[in-house]
Amino acid sequence: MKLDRLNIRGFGVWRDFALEDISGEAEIIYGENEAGKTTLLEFVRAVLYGLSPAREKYLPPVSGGRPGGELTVNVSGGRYEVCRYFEGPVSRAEIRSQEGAVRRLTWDTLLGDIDEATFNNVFAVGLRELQELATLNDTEAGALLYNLASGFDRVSLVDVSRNLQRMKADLVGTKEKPGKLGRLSERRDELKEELRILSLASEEWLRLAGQHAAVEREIEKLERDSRAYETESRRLDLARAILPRWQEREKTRKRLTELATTPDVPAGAVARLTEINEQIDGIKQTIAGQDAEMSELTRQAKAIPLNEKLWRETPRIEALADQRGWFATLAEQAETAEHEARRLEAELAQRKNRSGVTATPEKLGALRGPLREYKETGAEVKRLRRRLAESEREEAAQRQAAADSLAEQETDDLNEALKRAGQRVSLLRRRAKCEDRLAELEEQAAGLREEGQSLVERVIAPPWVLLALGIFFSCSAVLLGMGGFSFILALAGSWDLATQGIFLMLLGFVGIVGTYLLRQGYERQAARQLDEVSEQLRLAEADVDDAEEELHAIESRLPYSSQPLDEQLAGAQKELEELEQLVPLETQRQATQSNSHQIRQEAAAATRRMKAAQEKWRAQLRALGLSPRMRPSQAVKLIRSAEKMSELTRRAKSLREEADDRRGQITALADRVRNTATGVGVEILDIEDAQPLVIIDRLLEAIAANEASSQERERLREEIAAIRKRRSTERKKLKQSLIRKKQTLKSAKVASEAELSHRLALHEEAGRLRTSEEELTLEFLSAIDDVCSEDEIEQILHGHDEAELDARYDAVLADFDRVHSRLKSLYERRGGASQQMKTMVEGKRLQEAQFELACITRQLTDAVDELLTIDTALAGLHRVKSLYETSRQPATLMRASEFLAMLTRGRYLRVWTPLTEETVRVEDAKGQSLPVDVLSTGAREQVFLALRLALIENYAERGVRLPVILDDVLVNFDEIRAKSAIETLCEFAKSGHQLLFYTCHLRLAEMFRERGVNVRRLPARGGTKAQTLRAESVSNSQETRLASKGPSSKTLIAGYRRAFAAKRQWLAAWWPAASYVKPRPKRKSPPPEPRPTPPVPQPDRTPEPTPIPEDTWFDLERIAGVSSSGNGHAGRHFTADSSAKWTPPTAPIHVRSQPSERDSSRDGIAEDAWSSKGELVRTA
Amino acid sequence: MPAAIRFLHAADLHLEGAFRGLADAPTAVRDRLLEAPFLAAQRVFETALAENVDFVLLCGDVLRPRDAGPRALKLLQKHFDRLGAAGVRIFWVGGAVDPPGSWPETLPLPEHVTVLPGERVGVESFSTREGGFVRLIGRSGDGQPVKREAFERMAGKPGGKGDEAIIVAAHGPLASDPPPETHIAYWALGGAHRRATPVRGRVAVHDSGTTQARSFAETGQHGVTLVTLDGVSKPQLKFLPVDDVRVFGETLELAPTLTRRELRRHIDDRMSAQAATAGNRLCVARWRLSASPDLAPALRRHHLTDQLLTELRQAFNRGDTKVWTAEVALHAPRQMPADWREEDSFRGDFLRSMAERKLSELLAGRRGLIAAEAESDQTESASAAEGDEFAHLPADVRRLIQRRMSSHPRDLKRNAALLGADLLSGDADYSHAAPLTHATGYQEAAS
Repeated sequence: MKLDRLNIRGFGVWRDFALEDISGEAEIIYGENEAGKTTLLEFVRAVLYGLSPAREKYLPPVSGGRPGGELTVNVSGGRYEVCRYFEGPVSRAEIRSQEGAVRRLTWDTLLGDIDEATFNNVFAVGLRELQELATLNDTEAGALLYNLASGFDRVSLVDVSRNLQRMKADLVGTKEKPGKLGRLSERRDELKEELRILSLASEEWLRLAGQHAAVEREIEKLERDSRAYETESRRLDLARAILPRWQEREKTRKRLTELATTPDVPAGAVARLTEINEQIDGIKQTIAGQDAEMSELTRQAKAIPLNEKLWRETPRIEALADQRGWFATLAEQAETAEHEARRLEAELAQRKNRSGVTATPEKLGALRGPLREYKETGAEVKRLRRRLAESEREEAAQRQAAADSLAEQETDDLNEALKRAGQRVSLLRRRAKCEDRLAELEEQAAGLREEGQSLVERVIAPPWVLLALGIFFSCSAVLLGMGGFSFILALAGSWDLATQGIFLMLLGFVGIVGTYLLRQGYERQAARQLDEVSEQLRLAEADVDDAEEELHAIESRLPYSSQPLDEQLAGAQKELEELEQLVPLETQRQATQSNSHQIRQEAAAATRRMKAAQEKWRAQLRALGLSPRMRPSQAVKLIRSAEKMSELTRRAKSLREEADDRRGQITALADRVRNTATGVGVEILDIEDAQPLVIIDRLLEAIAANEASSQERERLREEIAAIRKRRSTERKKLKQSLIRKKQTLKSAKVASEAELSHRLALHEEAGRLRTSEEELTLEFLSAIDDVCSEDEIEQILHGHDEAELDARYDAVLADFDRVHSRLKSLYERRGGASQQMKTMVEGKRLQEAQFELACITRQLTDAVDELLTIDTALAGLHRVKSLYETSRQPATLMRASEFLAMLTRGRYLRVWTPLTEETVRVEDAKGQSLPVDVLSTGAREQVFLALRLALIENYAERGVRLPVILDDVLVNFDEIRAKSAIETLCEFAKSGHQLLFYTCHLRLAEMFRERGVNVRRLPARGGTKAQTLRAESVSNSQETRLASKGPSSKTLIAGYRRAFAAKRQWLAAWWPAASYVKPRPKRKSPPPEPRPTPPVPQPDRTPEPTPIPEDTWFDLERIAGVSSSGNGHAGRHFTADSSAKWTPPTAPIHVRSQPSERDSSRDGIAEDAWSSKGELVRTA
Repeated sequence: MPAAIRFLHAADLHLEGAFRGLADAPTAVRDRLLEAPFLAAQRVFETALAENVDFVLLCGDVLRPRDAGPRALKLLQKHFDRLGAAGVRIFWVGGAVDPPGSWPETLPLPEHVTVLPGERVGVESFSTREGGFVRLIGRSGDGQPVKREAFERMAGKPGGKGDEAIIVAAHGPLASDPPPETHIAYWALGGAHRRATPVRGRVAVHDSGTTQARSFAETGQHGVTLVTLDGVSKPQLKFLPVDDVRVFGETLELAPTLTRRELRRHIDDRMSAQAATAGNRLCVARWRLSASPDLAPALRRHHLTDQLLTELRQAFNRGDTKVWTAEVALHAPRQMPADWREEDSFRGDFLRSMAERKLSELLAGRRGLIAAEAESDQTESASAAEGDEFAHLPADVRRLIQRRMSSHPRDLKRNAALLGADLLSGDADYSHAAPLTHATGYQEAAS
């Protein structure tokens, strides 16, 4: 956007003020203080961005008028009017299209997304904005200056460094607030201390273990003593308890000793005698009982009755009884046969009544033959009719399918269609072949024509052949000439040359002849080949004609088609294939039709056979007297009914005969039974009327009773015999017992049983005493039990009375109590120690602490590794940071460095920003970096102006071009700085930026004007138009004039860039990182485009850094004759001849001058001063 | 024919040592880990009784009594008494942690326990219950290589008493293998922690290894060796596992085509196989993933290891597996993606700067500074005056820093390059977890 016209209706002091025909490059607005320059600046800001609190003081207008105004701008070749009017707090703004505008312009397009803050701090800058860099930091432009640490790779190097620093700080911590390492170390120390304490617990456990072992040993000894006292006390207590019984046992033993003299009775004699007596008594009682039993049994046997006749006839009666089942079967069979015969006779009579058939089955059987024939022929007729219908349906379907297919081919006759399609395919193929042949022949003819053409050309030898023949001919001619010359010389007298001359002549002659012959032969050969080719061409053309005729003939037979031949041929072939596919369908249809015809004939023949059979059938019916209209099914039923009745009659007769036979057999058997019952004497009531089976049952009952009586008698007889046998045995036993009794008394050496009894009484007393002694002994032993042995207790009892035993017992008890109480205390000590040891053994804290210590140690090692990793990574990042700070600055700052070098004439070469800060620093010619705030006001404003210009260029490169308005920003510059700044601004404006420079200093306006810039003077307050102060036309060879004033700005820039490049080279040598950055083998993501650096010629090859021309501008002043106390208007005295003394900035300049006192005093702060040695020192 | 001799060879019970480095084990696992060495020791003696051996040979590093605590002492005392009651003798070769004389005097060893001396080679000749004759030659040691000549001198020349079995017991590896014609039937060694039989044949040299793994350097099965000598044939060795916690670590190569599901399935299969082998034992697993330089950064950025670790531990907590996963680590690749160092970006500049010699010199200088500071044991104020940012750290931590800096300088640089490259890769997560994840991966590579 460029301003073309500015029209203020009413704003601040201005009313109806217009600034027209504003230059597209630079325009200087001059006006004294209070003239309204800042109001103009604010007006532009207000129109573009509206009212702000800072601009409210300009409204309402002091001089009246409508608040607001218009800006006429040129955008992309179009002209627009930007209007804004203020009505109270509300503003109305619009953009109107003017002549040449081709599209509608929006505010965003107009301002290029530049917000007001950016516009105020970059494009429309006053002295106040220029002096405060911080205001720039808050704008979007700030990012362009400080995007060093952000933007690439979507990663912030600062963030990464900060994160790593934070991680490192978390690990390391501080003295006051320990980090992870400190905490882990502290925890490790705690665990080590705990483990040390726990190891002391181990020693305590060992001490307890020793103590426990000692107590165990003492307990063991005391327990032994205790057991001994306890045993002794128990023995004494036992002795006291068993003393009376022990004395009684001693008395019993004495009596037994006295009875020991009694003679012995043989062992078992008394018992044996007693036993024999008991046996004898028992046997006698048994024999008496057996006699009584035998008498009773004999009486019972005689009382049982028995029928002898019946006993003899028993087998016969049993044989009759065996025939009882057969007898019953006979009666049942007779009854059944009678009943069945009656039922059949009744059914036969019923059937005869119902059917009324009189004919016999044999007569009716004559119907079977005609009937079968009639039915078979009927069935065949039906089957053939069914087949005929199916065949006709199939034929109709095939006919329809063929008709549909032929309809698709638009024909009725398949054969005709086939023939037609075949002919078309054949013609098309012939046509294709013919065309191919024609093309081939034409190609052949063309080839022959070309060959003929080339032969025609060859008939006349080509130039190279002619040239070669010419050369050969010339050489031959020369040889001929030389030969002739030699021969002439030979004729003149030099005969030795004659042979040589003749030879040369011959050689020349042969060469000439050979040349002629070669040419003739070449041309003849070509002519002969031409004739052959012509003949071939003629034949080929005749063939072409033939082929064309044939092709025309074929085409005339073919219907017209616009399709290509290939498609026609493919279509015809497809049509032919489709028709050929119909041929099998037609064949199948014809076969079906033939089949139908044959079936139809067979059906007619079968129908005739069926009618003949029908006639035969009816004749047979009439012969039998039946109705001729009887259906075959009715006839079949009739025949079957007659056959059934005949069968029934035969079966009824047979059954009746069988019933009579069974009844005869029953009567004979009953007579035999009655005779037998009478013979054996069994009484039966009404025997004549009784049924044979009843009589047999009565006989069997009588036989059973007779058998039971006989068996009872036999059993009694056997019992009597057995009793008799046992009585005999008992008598033998009695006899043997009496003998044994006598032998026993004899063996006991006693005469009688009484003597034996006395001796036995004595032995019984001794036995009782022994029993008593044994009981006492047992009681004694059981009392001592396992307390001690018998000998030990007898040793105690012998010779001691009861009192002595009591005294000993008391003494032992006292010793036992003493030992027991000691043991109890030891048990308690042992239990306490055991419990304590058990608690210590079960404690797991030692293992847990060891485990935790191992974990902490591992974590500590891990944390140290992590710390070292982070630390090393940070070192690498620091290297990257240094690299970026030195050689990878943002493009804006690099461009600002160039502007600064121009503005300061090489005194300051570089503007850069540290990676982690949002501030800028400048670097002087010696490579010393300084913060901006330590610079003088003028130098700082140079820096800030350079930054603005670089930012504006950056925006321009991004497509945002807005008018640049500088409101007296050079007011703090001295003459030299102002001149440099004006040169820089002019160059800046020439590069396409519209610059409006407001100033109240006439000298600045003059300096601009001398640079050919249009200068306008603002009218007095209330004026409506600025006055142009243009003294001379800018168009008058401005370049020439500028060149005459000194070095051009291009030369200046080149010089400064050269110096800057030298500085970078020096930096690269000093800092290896800068050198290794240079080779960039691969660029993954393009960094922001740096400004193309113009090719810089190598200043010189010296390894030393090029002396920075920091004093160049002093030299210029001197040459220009500017006094050190210049008043700011020295620029007017620049003369053209000053260029003659211009020294390139790269040349060493040794002339130094002191900075003007005025500059020092005006800047107010420390200035760089030259020491007496010429070194730069900075004083505070 | 001489009677057969059966004895149990065990070593490195280390009842004083806890499992190392599993800081985040849950309580159940932690208790099991703490109990494991004691349970293993108990199984050693129970195995001796069950196998009805003639004697037990403990080849060093049974326990350090000062650190082992009352529980270990009580356990040994109890089982020594049990073996004594069963008539089983115990021969104890001292090791680095249990040299002769370290056993507390207040807790006298039973008579059937014989500690072999450390200053000289001791000889014990005795008869077994079955009538075999044994000459045991042994000396306590500190784990250093053992010279066999001293033992061979005590064994005498071959062809002495034909029916006497000569056994050597020592703590430490053999400096040289015994000749095949030696008449020493069995060399029982300890101290290696890994079961090994460097010589096998008519003569066997065998280290039974530790009875319970206590770190990821001791993976696989652990137990004791039952040795049977019949006097004429070669020794018969039978391994009997006694460990209660089994450790295994596997490194998985991740192909670029491998899906996450396939990786998880593979890990599950391997865990199932290990759990089946381990029976009722607790398994502790460590997985190391190795990926190509192109794949590894993406895996690190997506915290694959953290996700897998969480999943596997959740599966353990649910009871889906008996394997507790201690760690899932991503191997730091040896090389960066080739184009990273070439690109024009912060990352490229950073990687190039890491390769600079100047940086190496800078780090070396820093190492030297820290080393000097750690050695001279300066006061904090003096160090602080020199601007040492580690000055306020405890001296032992400073020494550790110096040691770790010096031990793996190349790994350190490589890990730093990885860390910086990841953070500068544009989409790295700056959340709290991200640096820890990175650090885990790098220290693995460093270790």
